[in-house]
Amino acid sequence: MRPAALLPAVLFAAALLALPLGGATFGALFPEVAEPLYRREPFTTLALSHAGLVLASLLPAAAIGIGLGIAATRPGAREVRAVADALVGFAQAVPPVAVIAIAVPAVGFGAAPALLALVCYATLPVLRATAGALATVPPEVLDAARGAGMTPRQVLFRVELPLAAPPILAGLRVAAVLAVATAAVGAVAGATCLGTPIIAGLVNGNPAWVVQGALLTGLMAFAVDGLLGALARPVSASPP
Amino acid sequence: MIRFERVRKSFGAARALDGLDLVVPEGAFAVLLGGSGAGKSTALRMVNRLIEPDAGRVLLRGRDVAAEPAPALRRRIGYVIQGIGLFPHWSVARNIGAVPRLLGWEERRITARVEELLTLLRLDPAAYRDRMPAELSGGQAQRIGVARALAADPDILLMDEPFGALDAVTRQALQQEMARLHAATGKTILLVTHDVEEALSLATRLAVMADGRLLQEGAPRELLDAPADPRVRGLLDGGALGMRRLALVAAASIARASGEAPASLPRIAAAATGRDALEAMLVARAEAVVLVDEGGAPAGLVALRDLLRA
Ligand SMILES: Nc1ncnc2c1ncn2[C@@H]1O[C@H](COP(=O)(O)OP(=O)(O)O)[C@@H](O)[C@H]1O
Ligand SMILES: [Mg+2]
Repeated sequence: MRPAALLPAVLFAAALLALPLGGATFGALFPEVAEPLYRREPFTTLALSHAGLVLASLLPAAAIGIGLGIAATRPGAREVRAVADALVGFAQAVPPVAVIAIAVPAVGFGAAPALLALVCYATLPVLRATAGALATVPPEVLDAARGAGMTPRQVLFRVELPLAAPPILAGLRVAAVLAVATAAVGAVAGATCLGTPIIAGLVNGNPAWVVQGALLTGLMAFAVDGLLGALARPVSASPP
Repeated sequence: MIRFERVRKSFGAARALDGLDLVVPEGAFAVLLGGSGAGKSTALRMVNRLIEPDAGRVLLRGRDVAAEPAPALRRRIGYVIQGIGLFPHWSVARNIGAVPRLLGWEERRITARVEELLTLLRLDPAAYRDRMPAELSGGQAQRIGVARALAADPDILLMDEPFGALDAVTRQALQQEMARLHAATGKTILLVTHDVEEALSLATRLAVMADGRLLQEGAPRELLDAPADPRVRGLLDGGALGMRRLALVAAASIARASGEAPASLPRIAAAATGRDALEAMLVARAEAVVLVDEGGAPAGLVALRDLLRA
C-alpha cells in the first residue's frame, strides 16, 4: 500500500481527535457564536454511527448492484436490462433529500430513511460498473469458455467476474464515497451521523458546527476513497 | 463419426443453414470450405451445441448431440477458434488445464498433461508454463489454444478458421503441426476455412459449402478432378488448378526406377509432392529430380513428363 493512499485516512483520524481540542480556535474564527464547539455527542460517536450507516447501506447496494448488473448482461435478459435502466434513470433524477422526505412517512424518522436513500444512491455506480465491465469481456473468451464445457455459472464465476473485477471494485469505491457524502443528509431525518452537527448548526444559526460536520464528512470521504483505491489496485494487477 | 442430417438454422431473416447433409468419417481430417457467410461456423458450432438447429439433427457416433447436457458434451470435444480466446487472467498452464480441471482431474495429472502438451506443440514447458496470454505472440497463443483443446484428449477437434489471424509463415508452420498431430493421434478433426490452399493441404475429406448447403464432399483430389458444381470449380480453380492437383500427388506415386540417378539432378525427399518435384526441377533447370529416402539413397526418379500423369 502506498503511503499516499493512507494520508487521507491519517488526516481524518487526526481531525477526529484534534477537533474536540479546537474550541478556542473556532471561538476565534466565529466570535459571534456562544458555543463554538459541537458537544452534544462526541465526534467519534458521530463518525462511528456515520460509518455504520455507510457500511449498512453499502453491503445491500453492492449485492443489488452486482446482482442486477449480472442479470442485465445474461443473454436474453432484455426485460432485466430495461428495469435496470429505468431504475438508474429514476434514482438519478430524484435528489437524496427527496428520497428521505418520501421515506419518512413510510419508515419513520431515524436511520431507516437514511439507509433507504443511501442504498438507492450507492446501488447505481455499482450497477453501472458491473454491467459495463461484464459487457467488455471479449466475446471470443466467452465462446472459448462455453466451448470448453463450462456451465453458465462457471463462465460467470471463473471467467466473467474475475475479468470484470477491477471496474466493479472501482464502482464500489465510487459508491462508498458517494455513500459517505450522502449519509450526512440522513441527519435531516434524525439519523445520528456527521451530518448531525451540520443540521444542528443550520437550525441554531451556528456556522461553526456546520463547518465541523462538513469538514469531518469531507475528510471521511477522502479517507474511504484513498483506502479503497489502494485496495483495488493490487487486486487488479495480480494474476490469481 | 459426425453426421449432419437435414440441418436448418435461421438467425432472424438470415438463413445460415438450409438443409445441410454431411458425414465426417471417423479419423478424417475434414475441412469445411466456403466463402464468408456460407454457414460453415454455424455448422461447426452445432457439433458442440454452441448453436442448436431449428430442424434436423447432428449425430456423434450415431448419437444425437442433443441427448447429452451441453457442458458434458463440450468437455469431450476440442474447440479452437480464430480469436483464440485464451482466458487472459489465467497462466498458460491454467488455460491448458481448463477442461481437465472441469472434469475433476487430480492436480498432479493436470500438471503432467500440461507439460506433455507444451512439448507436443514444441513449446518449452519451463519457459511457457507460467506466462500470461498477453506475453505470447500470435503463433504461440494459437499453439496454446490447440493445446487447450487437446488437453482432455478428446476424440474430436473442432477448429474455426484457427490460423486466419496469423502471418503466412506462422500459419504454414501451424498447418504442418496440425497435419502431424492428425497423423499421430488419429483424431477426427473438423476444420472450417475459406482458404483454398489451407483446405487442400490439410483435408483428407473436403466439403464445399455455399448458401447454407453442401455443394460437394469427397477426397480433395476428387473435387479437383470432377467438381460437381460450377461454384466448386470456381472456388477450387482460382487459376491454379494444375498446381493444386500436383500438390495433392505424392511424387513417389509417379516415380520410375532411378537407375544410375545422375549426380547432376536435384534431389528431394521421397515424401515430397509432385508440386515439390516440379519446383525443384524449375529451380535447378533440370528435366528430372531424384527422390531420396531418409538415408539419402536414391528411391526413384520423376521426370518432367511424369508430372503429366499426375
Ligand atoms: N449469431 C448470429 N446472428 C445473426 N446472424 C448470424 C449469426 N451467426 C451467423 N449468422 C448469419 O448466418 C450466415 C452464416 O454465418 P456463418 O455460419 O458464420 O458463416 P461462415 O462461417 O461460413 O462465414 C451469415 O449470413 C451470418 O450473417
Ligand atoms: Mg465463420
